[in-house]
Amino acid sequence: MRASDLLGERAVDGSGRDLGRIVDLVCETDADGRPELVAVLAVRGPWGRLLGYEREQVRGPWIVETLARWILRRQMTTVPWRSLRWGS
Amino acid sequence: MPLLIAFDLLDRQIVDRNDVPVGKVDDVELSDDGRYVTALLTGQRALGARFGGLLGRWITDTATRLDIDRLGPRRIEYDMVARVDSAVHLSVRRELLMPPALEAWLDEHVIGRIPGASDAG
Amino acid sequence: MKRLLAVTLGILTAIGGFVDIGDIVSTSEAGSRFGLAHTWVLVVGIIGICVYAEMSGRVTAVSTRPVFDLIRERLGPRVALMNLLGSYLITLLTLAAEIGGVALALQLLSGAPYLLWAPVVAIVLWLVLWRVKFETLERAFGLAGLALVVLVLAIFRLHPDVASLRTQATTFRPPRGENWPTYSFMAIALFASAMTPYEVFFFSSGGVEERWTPRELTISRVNVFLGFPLGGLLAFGFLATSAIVFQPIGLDVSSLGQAALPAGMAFGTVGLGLVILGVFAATFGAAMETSLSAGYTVAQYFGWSWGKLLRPRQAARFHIVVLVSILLAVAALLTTIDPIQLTEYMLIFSAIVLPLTYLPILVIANDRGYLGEKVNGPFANALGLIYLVIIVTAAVAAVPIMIFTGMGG
Repeated sequence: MRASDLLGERAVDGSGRDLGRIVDLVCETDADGRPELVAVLAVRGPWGRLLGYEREQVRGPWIVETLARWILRRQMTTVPWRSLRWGS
Repeated sequence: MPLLIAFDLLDRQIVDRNDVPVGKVDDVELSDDGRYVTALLTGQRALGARFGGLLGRWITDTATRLDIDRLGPRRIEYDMVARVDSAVHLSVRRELLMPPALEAWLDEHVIGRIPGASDAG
Repeated sequence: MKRLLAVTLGILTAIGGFVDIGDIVSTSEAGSRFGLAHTWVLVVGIIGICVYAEMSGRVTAVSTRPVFDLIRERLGPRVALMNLLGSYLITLLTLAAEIGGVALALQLLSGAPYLLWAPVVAIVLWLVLWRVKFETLERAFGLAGLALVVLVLAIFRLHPDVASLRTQATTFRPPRGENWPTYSFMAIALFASAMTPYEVFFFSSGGVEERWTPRELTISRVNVFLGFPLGGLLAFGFLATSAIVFQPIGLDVSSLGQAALPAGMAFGTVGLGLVILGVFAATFGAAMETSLSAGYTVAQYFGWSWGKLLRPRQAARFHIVVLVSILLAVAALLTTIDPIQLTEYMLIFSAIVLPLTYLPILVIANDRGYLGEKVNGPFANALGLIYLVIIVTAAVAAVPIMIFTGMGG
């Protein structure tokens, strides 16, 4: 399986609610040093990767950042791996 | 600090231990159950698969035609990754990896034949 | 001396950006038709490219990565591919025009038609890029291009009416005989030519070729703030001398020979010789800049090894792209398309591509992951944003005005 197979897929949570499309996969390093997928980031609406504003390190310019965060915050959810069910 | 595959890995430059460019992270290989990251995939075959559609198929096809040994996309085991910052730094030298098909072919058949090809500047 | 020569990257980039063949003819044409009315556009353009080149240089010095490399990370592969295709097309056609420009300069010197010179120029160009060190290229062509300073001196030698020149430069509307649409067309073309994407990509890649580290941050800035205003000054030389000589007699400059004339009028054969040398160096420099830039952007999109510092065998794909680009450019020229007309089209189309280039640079320059503490301060961000607005405005207005005025006719 490849990351590109998961990214862009629609995700639906346990109660059948549409969470939008998967835009990123969150990994934590496990005890053996391997990166393990723990969660996905899903965004409702047409915006996928938005110039990197999902990350805290990217700040400013003020207007661009505020616009981007406003768009993202409204619709982005972090979903733990366990809660995912694949949509069609 | 968590690693975001799309943000931190995908489309990032891969450099070897001497900072020589190896390629971009065109895709990331996961284990069959999708739980672990196993390898980085780089090269036209991986990029074409990521694009999908007609454009993607065209990119993959041209790359596959050069792949006479049927090796598949260039694969870099994840444990060769030393660190990830503005680029993905490998712990090994470029020579130890699978060579890119196009570069090797061009080097042998075209560039290598022009005088001065071994001089830097 | 070594320190003085450390700014030649900035000078060469600026020369290729401000006085390549397209700029030479458009600024001369602007001067002959509109007098000094477009001086403010040059100033705005100089400040704009300084703002963004400083950001690009900073990104390169601190992260040791060239800017185009980071664009794919920011925009994703699809949008970055569009960016690549757009920039590549423009760079390629500009390369064709530059080779044409060098050939035209040789035609002026020798009388032999430029189409005969074109293949010769292409071969010499490729050989020079193959064999000569990057640093040597920078220094030789950067310094030779400075011969164009003769035009700035010519301004004084021609004893112009300073008062009327000052009025022209500070009147922000079209002079008699021209209208707003043509005035705006010229303004957009001149602005786009000051901020063509290949300038920042070349400058940033050049910084990597020069192995910049965070210690070279100051050098990068000196390169920017010395080189680009200097380039702008040389462009102003063409604008002003054409305004002084041609506007009063109502001659619209449309050829290289006409653009070079004022230097001859001011300083005789010496002046003419210096201007042609300068034009030759500037257009050849621009040809090198655009062909390398074509290679840089493609290689940096795909992640290939690139650059002149590596042995060609280690960067085969990069060198092939450079070679193929030169071949395609010469082929385009040999269709007998007018190289000068070509650049004018390219300037307008590049205005449309500009936002795709500069927005990611602004975002990247704010990313602590790449720049740590050296991210943009509020001043840089404010200027960056203002210019982004200007760039988008120019991009949106470009095609309608082009159609409306029939290419500034």
